[in-house]
Amino acid sequence: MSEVKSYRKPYNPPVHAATWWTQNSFYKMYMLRELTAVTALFFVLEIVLGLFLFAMCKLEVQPATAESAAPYLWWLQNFLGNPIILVLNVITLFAQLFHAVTWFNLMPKAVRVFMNKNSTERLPEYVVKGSLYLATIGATVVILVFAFATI
Amino acid sequence: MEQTLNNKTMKITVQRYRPEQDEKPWEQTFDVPYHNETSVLEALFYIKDNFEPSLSFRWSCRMAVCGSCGMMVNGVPHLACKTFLRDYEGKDMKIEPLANFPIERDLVVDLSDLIEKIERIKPYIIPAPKDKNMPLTKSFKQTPQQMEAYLQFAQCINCGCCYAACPQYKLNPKFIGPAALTLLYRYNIDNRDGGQKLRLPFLNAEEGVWSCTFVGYCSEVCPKSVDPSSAIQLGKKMSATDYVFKMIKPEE
Amino acid sequence: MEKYLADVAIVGAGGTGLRAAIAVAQANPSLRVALISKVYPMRSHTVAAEGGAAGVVRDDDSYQKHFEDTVAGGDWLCEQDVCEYFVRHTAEELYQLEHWGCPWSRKPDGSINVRRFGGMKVPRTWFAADKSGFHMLHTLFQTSVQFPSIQRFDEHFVLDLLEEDGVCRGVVCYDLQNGVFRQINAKAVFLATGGAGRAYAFNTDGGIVTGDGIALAYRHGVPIRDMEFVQYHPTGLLGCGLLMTEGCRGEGGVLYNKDHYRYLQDYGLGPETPVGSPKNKYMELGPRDRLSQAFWNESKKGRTIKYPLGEAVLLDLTHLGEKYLHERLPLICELAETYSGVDPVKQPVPVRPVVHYTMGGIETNGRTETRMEGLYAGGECASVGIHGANRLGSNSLVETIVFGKVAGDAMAERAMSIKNVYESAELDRQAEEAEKRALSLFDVKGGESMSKIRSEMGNSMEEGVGIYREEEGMQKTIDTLKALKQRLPNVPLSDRGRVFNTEWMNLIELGYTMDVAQCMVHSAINRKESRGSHQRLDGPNGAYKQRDDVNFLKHSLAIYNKETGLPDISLSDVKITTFQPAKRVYGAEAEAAEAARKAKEAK
Repeated sequence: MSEVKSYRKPYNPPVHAATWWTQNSFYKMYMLRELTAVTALFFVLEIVLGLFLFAMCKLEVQPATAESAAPYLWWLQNFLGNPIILVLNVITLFAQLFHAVTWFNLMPKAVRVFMNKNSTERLPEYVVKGSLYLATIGATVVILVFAFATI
Repeated sequence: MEQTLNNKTMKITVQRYRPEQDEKPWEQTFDVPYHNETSVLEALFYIKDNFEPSLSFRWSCRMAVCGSCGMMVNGVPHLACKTFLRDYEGKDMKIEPLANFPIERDLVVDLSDLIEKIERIKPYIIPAPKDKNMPLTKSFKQTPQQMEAYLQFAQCINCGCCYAACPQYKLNPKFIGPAALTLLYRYNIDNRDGGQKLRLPFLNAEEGVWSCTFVGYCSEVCPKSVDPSSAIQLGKKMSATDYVFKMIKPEE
Repeated sequence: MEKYLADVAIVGAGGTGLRAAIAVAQANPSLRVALISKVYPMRSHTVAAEGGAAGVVRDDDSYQKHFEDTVAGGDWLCEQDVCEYFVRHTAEELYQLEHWGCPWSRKPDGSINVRRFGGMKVPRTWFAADKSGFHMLHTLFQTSVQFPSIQRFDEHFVLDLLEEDGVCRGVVCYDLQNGVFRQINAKAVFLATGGAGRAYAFNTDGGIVTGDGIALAYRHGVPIRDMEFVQYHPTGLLGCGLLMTEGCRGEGGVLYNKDHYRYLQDYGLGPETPVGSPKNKYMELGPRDRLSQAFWNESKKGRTIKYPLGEAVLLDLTHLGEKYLHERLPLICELAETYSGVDPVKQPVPVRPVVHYTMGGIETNGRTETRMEGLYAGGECASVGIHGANRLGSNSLVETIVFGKVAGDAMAERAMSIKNVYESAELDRQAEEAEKRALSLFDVKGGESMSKIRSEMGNSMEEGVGIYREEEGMQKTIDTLKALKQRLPNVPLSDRGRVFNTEWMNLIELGYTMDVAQCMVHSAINRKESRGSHQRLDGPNGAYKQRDDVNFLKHSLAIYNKETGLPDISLSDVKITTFQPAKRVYGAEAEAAEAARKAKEAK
């Protein structure tokens, strides 16, 4: 419709693209959850470094010696043993646990399953969350068992 | 009501903006007497009737179903008629227009973007060809479970609180946003509908579900417990499934 | 002034207006529909309707039964030919809404479920939990967006009708957002602006329910019919007056007085039915006028409960259990808890009668045509003739769609029969005059207060034309309104802006409401009998306490008198086809009367 005249003068509040999340605690928690991605990135780089150094070892020497496995041992002892890296790894562990918990709390929103064919009752939230925790615990146990079994 | 007013008063600061006089918003503070049942809306009535007749705000039903009175109370999107002064006892209160919308006047915002998005996503039953000529003497079969699948998502009153809560909408106004995407999903899973394909482009689009980063605040502030963030996550599932299907079986 | 040339202009975008707009768009997509509303369509007060909409679908039900319930419920003041049409077209309109996506509550097999409602012989109320109006309105709004021929004028407030040679040819309105006036010419104009509950202080209605359309037609000399019949809903929340749907009682809720006694059995609605097994047309399922009157009598006997916010009785739903209540009455639970601090699952809810519905309205025939050519009316603002002296719950929601459709079809027909568009200097002049009139309000320099006038009006209406009425009280209200109306032009505006000037709009609305209030009380004082929701306590030897079919089996017509500025009241005939007036009875008495009639017919 063509406007003959309008007395409008809408005010558009400025958007603070960098600081919007400081407005309330809900946003801050969200940003904290998003920030855990940084620790995940750190952990990935750490593993990649390990793999890379492992590949640099003289793998043809059997059994391995301190010399042939020197790069990997450096990573294991000097790098991972470094107190700063140790602290960062502990932070990473807690960050990932935090991420897991908050993520699991949100998951029921993305899962809508009815109890049975005729029911209007949905699968309760605790079942969805519980199965996620069980899966996490299960996966952790499997990995640990596998890791220790190969020693 | 007057006689039940006890001596409690609250300092209420209201953001004002008169487009014909003001360059930018300013604030005005009032002492408003209240009792246990006084809602924020009634506090605004009191201000308009006793202090400042020129204060503008939208309202109608007083029972949290018409969706007119969404506004920010102490920085949080609320329906004024469903928010009570008793819950802010001992604090001051600040009332501002809904965030993330252009301010038209005082507490009135321009909702036309929200309305346009609701209209855009085809929010109506598009019958499948076989159902096109169903006579007006029978209904579709819809079991209670089939209804339950979408009913929560059909409770939206279009108040705009979820848009005021959504940082993605704030940063990118093109985002279709919580209420409209929820409505889209509601129609797509209604077993009477045959128009999924026509709505999927909106769902899949960049400004569709994938612009949502699951902040979840929309569901937190929704006065009708519609849970838009749930609908959007389910919409992502629908969109992803569609993507996979199209890879396997591309349409000509 | 900006001008828009439409084929059909619809004022009001609630259930009726939206249904009419869709009907026009479907009848002929080339007709331009202007859908004008002072709010966004989904804010319209249809949204607040809770209980449901009546439509005959059950095998044990029939059109005849619905017809009889409606006419008897209206105390024989219904247009019976219109009622016959109405009951035959309810189900198809409700099915139509179902096809459009309305989530009507279902039986386990997936078919439509119905619930009991007051004054209905058979359960026939379709419901979408207790948000029937909300779902109907949103379904209609959402369905309407697919028709490009519907041009919406949201947040446009209508100031006047444009009339030339006795034909209605458009409206002039104010665009709240842009602050400008718009003239909309049309071949047919439809008023669907809802009721005028805001004339009363204590009501279930939204702030927008100010009787605009009724006043617009009235000021143009169109007769306003049966305005004395104002429905008090028996169960409003104490304090705020929010509605506790009749569905509460339909589902089995019961009413107690302060002695935990189901008092309705004392008012011709008994015998008492066991708690948990409601029986149609008995006790709590009697009609609304009777239940509200029973409350008034209980109050006189001192048997109501006194709260700081006023007197109340108790609506008990606790025996229905949490699961059932949350499934069938979720909004009721939410409202009672939010606004009264009472959880209906655990505690009875204090309730009292509250103004709810305007039975009367702009007089129309069965095709929604008013006496002014080109002007149509439907929904609560109209009196098409199905509610008579008392509306049955769930008849009005379905009225919106049945007569919205009728109006849409009729207007499309008219618009197609007229070739040229209406345009004339006279219409432009009228539009400009309306603009000047509206703007002149800014020049007022008086000392009156709008909120004071509004509350004095509301209180005076409650006192003079409440549940029971007497000559003296009504005369007092007439005088009060007259004085208030003289004060109204002295209300100054402190808001000088044009954009969203709600103070200005509210002032014009108050003028509308005041006119409607005058129609109500003048019609009431003239009806010297008791019928339906109009109950009198006076007359020589209490003569007006009885129904008087000899003199008053007639509609009241309120017609604006330009000289006095007041309505002239006259009477018009009621159309009776097959159902002769009889005593209006409920409970066991009704069953006895029915049996007697059957016996007589068998002979």
